[in-house]
Amino acid sequence: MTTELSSRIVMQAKLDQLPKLERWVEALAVEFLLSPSLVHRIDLCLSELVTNLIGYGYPGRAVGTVSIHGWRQGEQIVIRIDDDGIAFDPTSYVSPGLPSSLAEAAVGSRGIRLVRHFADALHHVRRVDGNELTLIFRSPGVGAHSPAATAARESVSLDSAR
Amino acid sequence: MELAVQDLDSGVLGINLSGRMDIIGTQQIDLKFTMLVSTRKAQILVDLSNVTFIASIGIRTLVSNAKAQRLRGGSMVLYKPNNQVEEVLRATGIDTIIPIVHDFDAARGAFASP
Repeated sequence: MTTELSSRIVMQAKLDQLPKLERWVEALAVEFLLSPSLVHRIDLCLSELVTNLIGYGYPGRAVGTVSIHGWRQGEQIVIRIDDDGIAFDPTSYVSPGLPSSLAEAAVGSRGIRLVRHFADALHHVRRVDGNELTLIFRSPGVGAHSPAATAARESVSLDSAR
Repeated sequence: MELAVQDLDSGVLGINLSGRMDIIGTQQIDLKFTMLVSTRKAQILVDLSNVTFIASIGIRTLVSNAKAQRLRGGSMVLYKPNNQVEEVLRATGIDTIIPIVHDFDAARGAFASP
């Protein structure tokens, strides 16, 4: 346990485990007294990342294991995802640009863009036997997730994609 | 997720989605939604007011079917998403390629100038 307020879930990387993850986020919200907006951001990021793992993290393997640990650190919520899948660093993944028209729009590939948009920071470490991804969410009341901050992050993301 | 169909005035087909549009929910409605939206030319109003959550897999279904409907000469609008769902749609630029409206007058306007 990193702090007094801490919660962990260990699950198989299978679709039928997603409701369990959803319930864990709901419990985290109650325990940490999170705002609906912050709960939504955490819920969305975890849904995207774990769905991604289930689909692409374990080629040629039946199933993997994902451990998710959440805690409060000062004015922020930290979520750490440990998996035993293939190497994948969402911080260096280049998302497709925003669509200019319906005809030109890609059908998919929006998950990592959403994670970068809704998390305040991401940090990835590749370990010998898997990935460690840490997501930082600033708590409401400290002026963290402002539209200006979001626009600034988006600008950086788009610049780096060029 | 659940899907219900409603014939609206002016020949608009209303598709009411409800529930959590993550991978599990989207799989529950994807085939029926595609059959309704992509198989004939139509003006489609997708009512998102009872969708509580949308992930990228749900956006994929919306975009894929909007593209198919456009190729048939029709159009699709997204109606009354809640704040969180709309924030996700806007974060991915969906509002610039599929109109998001909050009343029927705006929907009629969007159908008139797709």
